[in-house]
Amino acid sequence: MMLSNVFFAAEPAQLFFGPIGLLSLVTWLPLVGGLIVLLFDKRRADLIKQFATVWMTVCFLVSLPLVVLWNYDVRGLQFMETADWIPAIGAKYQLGVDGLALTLVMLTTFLGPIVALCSWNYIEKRQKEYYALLLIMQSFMIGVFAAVDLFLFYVFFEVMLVPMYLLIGIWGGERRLYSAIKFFVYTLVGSLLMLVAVFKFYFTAAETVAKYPTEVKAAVEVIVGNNAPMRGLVLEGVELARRAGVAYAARAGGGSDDDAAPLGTFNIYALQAIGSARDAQGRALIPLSLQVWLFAGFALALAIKVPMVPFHTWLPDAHVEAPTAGSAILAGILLKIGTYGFVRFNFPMFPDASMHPTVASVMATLAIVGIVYGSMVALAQKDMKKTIAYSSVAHMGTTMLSLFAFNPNGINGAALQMLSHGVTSAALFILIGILYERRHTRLIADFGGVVNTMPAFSAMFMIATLASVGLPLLNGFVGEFIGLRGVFEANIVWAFWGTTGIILGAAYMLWLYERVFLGAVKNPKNADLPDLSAREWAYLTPLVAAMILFGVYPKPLVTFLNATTEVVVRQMRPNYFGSTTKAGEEQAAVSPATSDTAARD
Amino acid sequence: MYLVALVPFFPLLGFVINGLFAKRLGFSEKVIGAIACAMVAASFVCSAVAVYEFSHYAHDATVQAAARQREADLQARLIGSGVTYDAKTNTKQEAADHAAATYSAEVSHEVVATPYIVTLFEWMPGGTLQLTLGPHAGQTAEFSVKWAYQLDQLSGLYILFVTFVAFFIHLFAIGYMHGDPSFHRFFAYLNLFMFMMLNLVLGANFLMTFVGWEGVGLASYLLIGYYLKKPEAAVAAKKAFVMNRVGDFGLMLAMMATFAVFGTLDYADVMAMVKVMPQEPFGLAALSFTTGTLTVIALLIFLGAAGKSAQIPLYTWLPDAMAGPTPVSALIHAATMVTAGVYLVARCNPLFQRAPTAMLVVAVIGIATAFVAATIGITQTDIKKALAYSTVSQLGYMFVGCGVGAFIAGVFHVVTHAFFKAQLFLGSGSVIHGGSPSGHQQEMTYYGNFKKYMPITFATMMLSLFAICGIIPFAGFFSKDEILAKALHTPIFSHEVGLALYAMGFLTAGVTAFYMTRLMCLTFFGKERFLEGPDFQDGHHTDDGHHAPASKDFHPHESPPVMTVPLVVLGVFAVIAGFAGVSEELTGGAMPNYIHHWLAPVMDTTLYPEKPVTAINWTEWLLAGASVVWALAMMGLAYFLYVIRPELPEKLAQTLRPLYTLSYRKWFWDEFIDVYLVGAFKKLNLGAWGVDFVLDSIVNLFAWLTRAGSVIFRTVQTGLMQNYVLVMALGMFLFMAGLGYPLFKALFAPDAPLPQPPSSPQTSRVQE
Repeated sequence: MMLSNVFFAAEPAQLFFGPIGLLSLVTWLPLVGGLIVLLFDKRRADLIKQFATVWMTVCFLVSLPLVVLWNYDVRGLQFMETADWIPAIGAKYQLGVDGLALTLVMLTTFLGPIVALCSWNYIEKRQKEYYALLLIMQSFMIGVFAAVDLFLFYVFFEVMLVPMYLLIGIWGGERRLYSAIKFFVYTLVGSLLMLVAVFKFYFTAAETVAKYPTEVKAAVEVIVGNNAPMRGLVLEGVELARRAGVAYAARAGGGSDDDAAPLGTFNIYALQAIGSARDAQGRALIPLSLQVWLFAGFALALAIKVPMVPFHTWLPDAHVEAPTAGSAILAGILLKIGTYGFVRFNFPMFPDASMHPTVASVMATLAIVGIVYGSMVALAQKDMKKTIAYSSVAHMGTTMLSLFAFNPNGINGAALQMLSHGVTSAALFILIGILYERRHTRLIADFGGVVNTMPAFSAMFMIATLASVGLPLLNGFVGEFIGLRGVFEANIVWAFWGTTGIILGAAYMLWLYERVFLGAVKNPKNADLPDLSAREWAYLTPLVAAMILFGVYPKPLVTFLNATTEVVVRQMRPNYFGSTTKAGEEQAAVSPATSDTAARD
Repeated sequence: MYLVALVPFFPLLGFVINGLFAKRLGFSEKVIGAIACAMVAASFVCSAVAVYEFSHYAHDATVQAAARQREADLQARLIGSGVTYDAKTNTKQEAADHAAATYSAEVSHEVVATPYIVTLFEWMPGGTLQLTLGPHAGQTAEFSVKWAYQLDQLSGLYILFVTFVAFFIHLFAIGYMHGDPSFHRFFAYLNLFMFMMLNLVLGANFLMTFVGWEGVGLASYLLIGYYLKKPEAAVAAKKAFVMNRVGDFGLMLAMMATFAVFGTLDYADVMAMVKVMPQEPFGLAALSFTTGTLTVIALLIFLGAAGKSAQIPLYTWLPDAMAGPTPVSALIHAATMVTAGVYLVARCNPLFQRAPTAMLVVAVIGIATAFVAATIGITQTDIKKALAYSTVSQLGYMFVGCGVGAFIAGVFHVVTHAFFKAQLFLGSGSVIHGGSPSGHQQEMTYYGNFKKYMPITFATMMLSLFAICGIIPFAGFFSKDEILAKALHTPIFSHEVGLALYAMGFLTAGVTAFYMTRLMCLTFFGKERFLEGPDFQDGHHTDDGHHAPASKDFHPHESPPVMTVPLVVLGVFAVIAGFAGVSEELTGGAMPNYIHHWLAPVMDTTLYPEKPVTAINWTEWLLAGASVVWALAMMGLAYFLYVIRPELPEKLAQTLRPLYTLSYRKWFWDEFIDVYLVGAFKKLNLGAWGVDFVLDSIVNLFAWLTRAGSVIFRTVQTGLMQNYVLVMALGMFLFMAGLGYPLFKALFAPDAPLPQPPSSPQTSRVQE
């Protein structure tokens, strides 16, 4: 609010090819590739592989201008596109990325060619369908991050399950059907509850904005800052909702039943503005009890996706049974949608519920349980892939804990962890896939002394391991430290438990490394394993390079992320950035999770 | 001085060249070794030039004034108002007087630290943060960590001796590792270690130090596990890393807390600001973030230091780390890396001085470690393990120095220890190298009378022996004696505590003299036992498999010059290094205490000002004389037991069975950790996995319930028309029966009102 008048107008970056914007191109290009693959002769598997890989690479290159053209002076969305989609309910085809979404889109496009290339030997049947699904999946994942319309987001969110289900169910391991169905049903149950919450919020938002239009407009200013086109987009959504709300009121008051009245808006930022708006006394417009229910509806779907303990049991099964590329995508991108959803929906839309002491402590406790318990279960595993799967539970626990610090450090750190875990865990799954291709087993006990036969591979695995345990100068550390520092600000006890993850992480990863790679070769089958091939070098090098690059120089990432983070924190805690210290703020700083809410109540 | 920014990067270059290209381009051992050594030498030269320039810079009047102004500004920011340094009154002339009046103890606390900081780029930005602890709680600051190097007196001293010692250890390693199949990997790792170590000491903020801190941990991991086929090496490497992580856990929390108090991690800022904070209370009351913020931070830092520097309870990794090649033990596990903890404590000395509780913990842990490790050292038979326990013990002394407020003495002991302990390790390497046909025999049981075969090794190791035992005028005497003297006169604790620390330290010094002399006696004196070794037994196994027994006409041999030159150089320094820091209490100021004057600016003296020394203190001479006599007596005892009457130790061990067992089994601490703690943890992990199974079963229960439900309904779907008609008829009947009564009532008893139809959900919402 206070900043709305200090920004000069600046134009966000955009690029259009006729009616198609760059972001639409980035989103749909993989799908086009997938459809082209379907036209291929299925006997020409080599051609399909090469085409899919090249197409993925092209998609990555096409997404690069998103970064190159990025305007760093503008807050909020860039590369916006809007078109009518389902006018009956007010859903629109709206795309756009802010700093957080951009980095996640880039992560997705970056992993695309890598997962295509790593499947060349692994997939031995139905290559045509496989690569087509991989490409289609890619589109949906990008769409999840690029969607500005909640309904569009939801569609991508759901439809994405189908290719993943098929990837696990067709090309998976022995228990592939069990895992695929479990994954599908589990995720679906959660997201159906989310759909209920979406619609409830959709109506509530319309009523709220009809009652408090000025407050909501002030909240819009916090979100859009100097971004004029985005202001237009969001205000349009707010206006639609307001008109709908007025229409409901009129209808309830017995007025004329105006069928032409729009039904509201699904624009995420308009909904954020309504959720985060506060009246003159600093109270949220939506009552806390309702916020908590809506929060729960969203949180359950997202918590299953993250996954948070105790909703994580689909993950080890899905990870282990999925083909390498499937595991890499699952760990690399799908899990991030959960945490992304918390930042995008739960925090700004239901700030009071998120920051309610009970809710926050429940979530933080579950996150901490995830860290400690996930690590401990990882230590007990006999299967390499399961170890990494449970390590994901632990890492995502750290991410969730950082998020629930509700301060810039915490959220920046969480976002950085999402990106680094995306690269690192994908790399680890791919590396295990390489080993599996050679030995057709993933049991730790079957290995030992691999370093003697595959030195280059072992070195790569070492780097990925170190990145996973959070060694400084590799990507894992940056997010972990910044995030946990944020947690320390919120609650020292949480930070204490969160930091234990660095000990446990080192224990399970290095123990895994010791048992698989070090020592003498005991099993004669491991005696003449070939080291990395040129193709394997080709897709491991970018992963390792990314780990080192963003460990040594994470500043570009933070620059992107911090813009989003500041807005989110401003929405949740309007006084956070206030430079003046009030008397009450000293206590406020000690336990921000409780105090901000208390002050508002 | 800008050269200081280059210092860490030469070894990094060496790491890249040797690590990535040496194998591909087929470099010979000489080329690889030359590259690695040249890189370290280049670092040394750069360090020397930079430190030389810095020594002039530090006394420049304008620099001093600017540093003072900066410090005053920072302090004013912290306490809000009041202390501001008036730059006007401090005229140039006055400042020049300060510069001229150096090396006078009175002025030593007038000379302020003038860190020279080179910022390369912003490494970790993280957004805005709010201070939550300390006087500034509630204010906002910016999370911004720079990749910056800081040259000051402390880091200057460190980079000089680290690069110097490392160069000679690299040189030695060329000879020691000769013929190793992955020679390039070894030197790449060594250079990686150097890069990280230099980052550690040169880092301008806690996080840069942490980079080096974890980085040396990584290098240590890689080098302990260097012999890839040795399973125990892999276990030891992992143990070292994980145990260090326990310490790093504390250090990370300490950094977070530092951010929460000061809003920055830069040493220069934090240490300047901490100087105006009051000293915290002594005792348990200080163990909370509200009453004792600095105490908790200091204790967390010390947890990190205890991990890295192998103090109780985290010391057991260091003896196990001896599974790595001997040059590694000399460089990483004796001279440099393990002293990083002392470095960090000394670096944070203003903070520690304000936390007396933490100081007491440091001192007590230090003295306990010194004593425990020394007692374990008595019974070790593996030459490297004995030396490792000696390292742990000496590190304990260094922490005693820091704990009693004599940070300079602690750092001085780091320097002298680096020379003599590196020399001892390299000497043991030379012994291992030439002492058996396989070149891997580390058991002193199979040595004896090597002085005849290895004269240079023997002579140089004797110098180091005198140094570590604290015989005047060898290096160790001056540093160790200074620590003990300072412990006795500590201004921080009561006299009784000082006396207890002194007594324990004095006792430990004797034990040290005993076991070190024992080590020398078993190796270089007595009966020749090397022909009894397993190399000469039939059917022994080595890493490479089966070997025929070695020929009995084997004779231990002296090592080549590339190995003996480092021994000699380091041996010389083990003799003369002590003269850099002769206590002025002993000389009455006749000979300046160079180390003290050099380090004084980085040591905070606002709480405990130093009294200038004007005359010789004969009490100090008395104490020094007592410790020398005590050490000589214990050395004589060891010589008597192991050379003159070699059958006696066995009998003594029998007589003192419980004590012997306690020492031989390392006070049972290793067993407690490895067997009970880790064992319990593994069981706990399995239990967690069991819980996971239960959780999964609950999820599957829902699936099962659905399926079970479907079984019931599936049986109904028979496909027989008659059945469906029957069910339909039944349904019709029930419907009629159920509906009939209310219908009847509604028709014939109209006084009861008809139920209202429920309002539609939409309208009800608007009404709310």
